[in-house]
Amino acid sequence: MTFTHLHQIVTFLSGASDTAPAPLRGSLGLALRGFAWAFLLLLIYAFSGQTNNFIYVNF
Amino acid sequence: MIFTTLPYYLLFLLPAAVLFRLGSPRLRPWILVFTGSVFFLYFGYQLAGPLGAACLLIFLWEAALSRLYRPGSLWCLFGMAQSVGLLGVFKYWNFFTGFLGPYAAPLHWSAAFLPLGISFFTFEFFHFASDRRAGLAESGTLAEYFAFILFFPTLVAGPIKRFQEFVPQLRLPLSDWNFDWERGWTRILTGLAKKFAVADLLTSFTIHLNAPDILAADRRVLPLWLLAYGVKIYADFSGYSDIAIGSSRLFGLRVQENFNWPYLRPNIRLFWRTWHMSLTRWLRDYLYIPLGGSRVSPARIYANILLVMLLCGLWHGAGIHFVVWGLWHGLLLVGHRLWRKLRPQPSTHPVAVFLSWLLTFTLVNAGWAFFCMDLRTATLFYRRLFLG
Repeated sequence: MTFTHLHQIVTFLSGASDTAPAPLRGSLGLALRGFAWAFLLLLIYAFSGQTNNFIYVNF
Repeated sequence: MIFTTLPYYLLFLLPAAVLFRLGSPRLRPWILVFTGSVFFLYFGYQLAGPLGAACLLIFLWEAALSRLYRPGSLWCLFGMAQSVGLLGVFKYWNFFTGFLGPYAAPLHWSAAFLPLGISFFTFEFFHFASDRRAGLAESGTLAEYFAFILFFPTLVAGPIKRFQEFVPQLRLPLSDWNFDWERGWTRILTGLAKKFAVADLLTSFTIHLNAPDILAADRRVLPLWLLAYGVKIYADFSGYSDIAIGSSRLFGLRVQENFNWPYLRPNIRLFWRTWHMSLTRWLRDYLYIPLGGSRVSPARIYANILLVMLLCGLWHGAGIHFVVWGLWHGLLLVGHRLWRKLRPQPSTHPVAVFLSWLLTFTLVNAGWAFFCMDLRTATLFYRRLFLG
């Protein structure tokens, strides 16, 4: 797997790209997308209790 | 952060996106106007009380004024000046009058507050007035312009939109609902994960970037704290942009990307092309190019770059340390241009590319010290780091 492949997979799984690269088409792709959602939800659940609020631009 | 609150999703995003999908094409802009207005009143009030909510009148005024904009018109110049004036008064009044020293006291605005999203919506106002003046944007209908400036997913912290790119989408039939929602929610979840699991988590390191902790710490740990800040600021703001872009997608609308792996770029010019891209684009189109762009003498080009980056720094916050941060990046960009004069063709050798990336990454992260600490603390940080 090349760096370009990896980049395409990450951008698709994160929602930044609409085009599914070859390994993510079909049922394997669906399973991986489901896994990505579960992983993201787990991260959000695990860390959302923090009170370390932070913002970039002082608007 | 509004995007991490439940009311954002339950009271605003979900109902608005569903209403927008179900509404007729004629009604859709007004749905965005209505939901954007309620959003501004709700969060504007939370941020700055009744006056904060009353700032919705700024949008009403701007929408009415925009109907007078014509190519070459003086009203456009007035609109541009008004945008700068609004930003200047609300964000920089006390900062600039503070330079008057003892004479500043009567001018001090003790009840100063920031209207929700002022740094961003004033830039969109300016863009529309400028592009209408140059004949680069159509006027659209009142509802369309109103929807453009009050579209709430991008209202608070961008990406800074363009009228020409946003409004035609309101007129098109909506694309595949299922696909947009799957992509939109995936993007929102990614943004929330970046925010909670990376940005907020790193606060346990970055919280030490203050004078007492810097004085007390082993100096070998200082670069790690700063590196943590560099990662945190990226995760925070790119996460915020992910949520804004994903939220827009629920409406079937696309907005500009804001980040494209900036920390992987091998030079500072490419860094700025991939970091907060909607701001860089705005600064290029409405500041750098009107100043002469790259068509003037080399000395003027360097001066323009420094000026644009100084203002870029000031836009991020009313403080001298933000100006220093902007100038730091201006100097890096000028340095890169000078280097390109000496070596027009960048080396493609992997070691050279790696060293170039490492240098860029280090210099960008070194600059964050002036972003996250006031000038005195940042100076102390570097004195402590290099002199012990």
